[in-house]
Amino acid sequence: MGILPKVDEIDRIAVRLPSEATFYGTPMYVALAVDAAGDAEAPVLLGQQQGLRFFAQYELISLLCSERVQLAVDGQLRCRGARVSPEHYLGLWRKALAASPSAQEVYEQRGWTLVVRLSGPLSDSLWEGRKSGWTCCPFQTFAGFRARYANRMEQHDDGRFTVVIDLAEPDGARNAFYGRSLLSSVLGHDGPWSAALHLVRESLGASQDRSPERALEEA
Amino acid sequence: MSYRIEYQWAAFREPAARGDRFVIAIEGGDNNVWTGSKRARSWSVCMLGSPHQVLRQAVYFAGACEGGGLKPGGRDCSPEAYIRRIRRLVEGTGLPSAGRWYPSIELEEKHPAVQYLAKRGCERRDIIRYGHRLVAYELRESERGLVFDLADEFPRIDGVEPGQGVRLAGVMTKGGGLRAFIAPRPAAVSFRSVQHWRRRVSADAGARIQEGRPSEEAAREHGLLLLHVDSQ
Repeated sequence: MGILPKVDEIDRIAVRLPSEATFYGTPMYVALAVDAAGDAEAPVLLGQQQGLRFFAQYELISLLCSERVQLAVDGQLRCRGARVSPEHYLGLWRKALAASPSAQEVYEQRGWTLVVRLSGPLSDSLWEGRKSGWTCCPFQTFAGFRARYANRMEQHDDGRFTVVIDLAEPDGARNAFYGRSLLSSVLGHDGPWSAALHLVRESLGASQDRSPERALEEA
Repeated sequence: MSYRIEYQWAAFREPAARGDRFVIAIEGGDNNVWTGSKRARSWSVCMLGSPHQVLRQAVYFAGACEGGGLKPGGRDCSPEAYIRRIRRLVEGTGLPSAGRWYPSIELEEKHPAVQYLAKRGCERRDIIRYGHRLVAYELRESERGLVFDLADEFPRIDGVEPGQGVRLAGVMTKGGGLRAFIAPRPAAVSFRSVQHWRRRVSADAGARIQEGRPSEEAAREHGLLLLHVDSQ
């Protein structure tokens, strides 16, 4: 972890994902720190630099201890302008974990949409006969995934696809998790695919069309 | 799931012009590694630097407590409690009556700290660890303060970035050791090689055992409990 400029964190949200989103059987979260940027709010998705990740509580606490909690030691991270001890700062996150709204509630309360963008090659030869690494995956093959998102899958001239999934939509988090898993297990960890979580901000109730593609485009 | 158990903690205060520096030594070991009928354990320097630097490293290690990867005393512990433990250690530190620590530095070949140490005439040793080429330094007594300079100069290598291929730590040896605080038993140490044994023990105890292989008898004579020697 490098030395970061001072951070003034004004709020924090542990977005709770549905229990069926993964096979782990423990509650999973997406962590969102809300920093001050002048008079505005600057939400920051934590731990997503390496691609899409959902966190169990212990993983989130560990992530915080490797980043933001360390900044609290010497006041590089403040909460609403005040210095906090690392222990107190962890306590604030525990409160956020206890409150943990769903992605839908975050949208209703703040107008923030969490969307996952999956991208990879469409070539049949890559996918033929290849299955997901997980028997509990809702789509065992890419054909199943493609059928599920047929009306939303964007196909590009270079033979790649992009699909955007809103975590608040029914089975959104689950499909994003297993979709990423399918890409990774078939194409390899460092293969020609990507999965990333984005936060899209819009004014409360501003858009009637809440399609994730539209939200991402607007952002 | 395997986890690390920490058994004892000790702190050294090293007065310095820029403010006191601290060295936190911890006796620990894996829950599933045994020597005979006892769990293997050894002392090592886990955190060092200014109080802030030490606490930052404590916070990093504390992150493993939440998932049960680190258990002080073999018991579940919250990260907050672990941070408090190290904070108390730093705030209440007196110089220990026995025991010493030695810096042991390993860096990736291209790390700028290699140049930094070269300019200061430190003797380097090229090693390969897990297939990675590293540069190792075992500083002389007069150079010990350099580890604190490194922690100041290169904040990313203050011991909390194992993924960087950097290790800035040390080994506990000698003289009744830290266990003497708890029980009249010698300090337990591991040596990486016979050469390592000779360098370290002979540096402390004179040249009497400079020749010959490490033995438990010789170790006891010098207040050490020899656990193992990794290689030739």
